[in-house]
Amino acid sequence: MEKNNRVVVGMSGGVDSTVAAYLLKEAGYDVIGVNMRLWQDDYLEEAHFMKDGGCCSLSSVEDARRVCREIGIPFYALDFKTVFKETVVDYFIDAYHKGLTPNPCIACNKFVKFEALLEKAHALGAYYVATGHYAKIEQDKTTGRYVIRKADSDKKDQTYALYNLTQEQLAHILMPLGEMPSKDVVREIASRFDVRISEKSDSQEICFVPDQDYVGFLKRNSDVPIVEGIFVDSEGEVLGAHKGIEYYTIGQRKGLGVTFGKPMYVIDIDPNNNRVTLGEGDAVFEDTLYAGMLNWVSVASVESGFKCQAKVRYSATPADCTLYPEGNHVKVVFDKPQRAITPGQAVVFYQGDLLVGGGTIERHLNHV
Amino acid sequence: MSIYMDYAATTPMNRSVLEAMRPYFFESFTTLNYREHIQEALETASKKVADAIGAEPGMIRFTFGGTHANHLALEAVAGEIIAEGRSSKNTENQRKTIVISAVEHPSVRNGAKALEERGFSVEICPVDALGKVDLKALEALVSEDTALVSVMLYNNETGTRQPVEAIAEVTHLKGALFHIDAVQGMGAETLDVKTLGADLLSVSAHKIYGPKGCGALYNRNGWPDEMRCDAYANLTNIVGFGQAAARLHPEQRKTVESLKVLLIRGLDSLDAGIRFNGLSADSHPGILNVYFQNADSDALLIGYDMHGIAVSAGSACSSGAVGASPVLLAMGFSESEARRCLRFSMGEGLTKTDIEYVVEVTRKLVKG
Repeated sequence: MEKNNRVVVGMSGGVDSTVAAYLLKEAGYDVIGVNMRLWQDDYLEEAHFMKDGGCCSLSSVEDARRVCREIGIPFYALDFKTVFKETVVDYFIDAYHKGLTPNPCIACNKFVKFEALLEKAHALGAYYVATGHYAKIEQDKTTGRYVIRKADSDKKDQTYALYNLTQEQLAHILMPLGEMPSKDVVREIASRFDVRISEKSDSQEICFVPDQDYVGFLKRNSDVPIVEGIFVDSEGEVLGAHKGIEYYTIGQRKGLGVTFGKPMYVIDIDPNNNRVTLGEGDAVFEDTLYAGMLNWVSVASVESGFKCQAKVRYSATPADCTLYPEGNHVKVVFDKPQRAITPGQAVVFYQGDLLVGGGTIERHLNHV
Repeated sequence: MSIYMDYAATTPMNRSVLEAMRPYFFESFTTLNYREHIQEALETASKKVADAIGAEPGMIRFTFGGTHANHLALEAVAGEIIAEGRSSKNTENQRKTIVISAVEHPSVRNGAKALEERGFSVEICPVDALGKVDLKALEALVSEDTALVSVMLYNNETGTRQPVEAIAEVTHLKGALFHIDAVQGMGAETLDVKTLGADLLSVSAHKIYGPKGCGALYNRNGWPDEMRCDAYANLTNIVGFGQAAARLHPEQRKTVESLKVLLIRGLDSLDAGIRFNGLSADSHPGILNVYFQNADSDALLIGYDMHGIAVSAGSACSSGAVGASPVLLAMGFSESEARRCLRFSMGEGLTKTDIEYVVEVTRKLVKG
C-alpha cells in the first residue's frame, strides 16, 4: 500500500484516544475514528458492570461518537467480537487452566488492535492506525528498523504491552501521546473541547473482567472444570488443600484459603500434578528466568549475550540483567533477584528508553 | 452529494401526508377523549388503511408502530383469543405452540421468545437458500397444538417474499391462526388480506412515507370498538397513516423497481464477484441485498458513507456496529460470507442519476 496521511484511530471514548485523534487532526492527518466493539461476558453486561465504567460500555461508544463530532472527524463503531474472543479471551482462559498468568493486553495489541483493526484501516484506504498508547515509534535512520521508545511520561509508559509487534505492524502505527509530558497535559488538552472526557477515570486493568473476579469469569466462560488440589512446600511436603490452580498466581499471599501462622507466598504452580508450591518471603525472589516466543524490535536477531534492563511485569521497574540467547529461547540473569517472576507474563528488554524486544516467561528458578 | 438508499429502514414523509396532518396539529388538536370531535377523522383513517389491505375499517386497530402491532398479535394469541368481534380469555384453547420462521424481524423473534416464560414453546421453521420458508418443514411443525404461525410477507433485509398463501393453507388446516408481519409489504404489492390468508396482519406508516410512531394490526374477526384506538393514541399520526395508505399506487413501485433493475445491471457490469442474495421474480421491488466477494461490509458501509451514500448492513446493534446477519446465516451463509453483504433499498425520490453514481462509487470501492 502506498503511503498516505489517512489514519484510523481506535477510539475507546476515553481521554487518551480522544486526544490522540485530536492531535493527529491538528497535525493535518485525514482522521477516521473507530470504536472497536469487543466480546463481553453476558453476565457482566446484565449485572451492569459494563454500564458506565468499562471501555466497552454503550456510554463509551456515545462518548467516542460525541468527541469525534467535536473534533470534526467521521466516526464508526465496528464489530471485532469474534477475533477478540478467539485471540484474547480464549487465550486468557486457556492460560489460567495451564497454571499461567496471561497478559491479554499484549495479545489484544498484537492480534486485534494492530492486526484486525489495521486490516480494516487498509480496507478504508488508511495507511496508518493510531491509538492513545503512551509510547514512541520511530524509524532508526541507520538500520531502517522501526523502534519503540518509552514515552516521555515515564509514569504512563505503555511500551511493555507493545513488545510483540512486528516491523510490518510498526511501519503503520502512530502513537501521538508518546511525546506528552504527563497525563495532566493530556487531560488539559481534552478539556479544551470536551470537559466530560477530560475528567474520565483511567481504564481498568483487564477490560473484559471489570469486577476483577477472574475465577468467577472462568467458571462462567470455560468448559474446563476448576479442580481442587494440594499445597506443598518446596520439599514436596503437603501443607493443605487448594481451591484449584486457577485461583493462584506467583507471589500471591492473600486469599490462599489456608493460614500458616507466618506469611506464605505462592512460588510455583504445577498444572500437571495440580499442585501449588508455597514458600516464605525469600523464596518468592529469583534471579533467573527463561523466556520463549521471542520478538525483537530494535535488532533483527540476538546472537550473543548482552547487558540490558528487563521488566517482568507491566508495573515492574526495569532491572539490570544479562541476556543469553539459547536457540529460540533466552536465559535472563538479573543482577539482583526479582520478586514473583510469573510464567505466562511477558519479560520485556530495554536499553535505556529503547525497547529491544521481549518474550513470554516460561520458567523461573534460583540461579545457584 | 447525499443519496439515501435505506428506504427499508424508514422513508421520508410525503408532503401530502404532512398537509393531511397539519390541521390536527393546530385546529383539531384535542385528545381522543373528545370522541365525537375526532370520530370522523378516525373512521376516515381506518377506512383508508383498510382499503389499502382489502379489509373493513372495523378490522383495523391502530398501534404505536410495527413492533407494537407484532407484539399485540402475539399477545392476542397468548392472552386473549380474539374471536367473532369480542375478546375472550384463552381458556378453552389449550394450544401452546407458536411457529415462526428463522428470518423473522427481532420484534417477532423476541416477542415469541418472551411468551416462553408464559408456558408457550416456540418452533423455528428453517428457510431455503433464497430465504423462503421450507413448506415441508412447516407442515411438520404445525400441529393441533399450534396456536399461531407468524411469518413476514417480505424480508426486511433481503426482500424475499414468503409464500404466505401456502403457509396460510398449512396453518388453517390445523386450525391455527396466521399472523403476517407485512410491515415491509405495504407498497411492495397491492395487499389483500383475504388472498394472503391472514388472520392478523401488521403494517407500519413510516415505511410508506407516513409518520413514525404509527402502525396498525388487522384482525380478520374485527376489533371491539373500544380496542380500535386507545385514548393515548396520536390522532395526528393516524390521520397521516391514512393519507400515506391512500396515496399508494402501483405506478410508484414500478418506478422503484426500474431503479432496482438499473442497480442490478450496473453492479453486474462491474464484474467484481458481486451476487444478489435471495433475489427472485417476486422479491420486494425496492430491496436488493448484495454479496461482495472483494470487500467486507464494514469497509463498504464506511466507503459509501464517505461518498455520501446511506446503505445498511445486516443487523446493527445498539452501538451501531454491524454483526453477521441472522437472516443470511439462516439462508446458509457462513459468518464470513454474511459479513460481505449490504442492503440497498430504494424508494420515491431516487433518480437514475443517483443509481449511476452509486454504481460508480461501488466500482471505486471494490476495484480500488
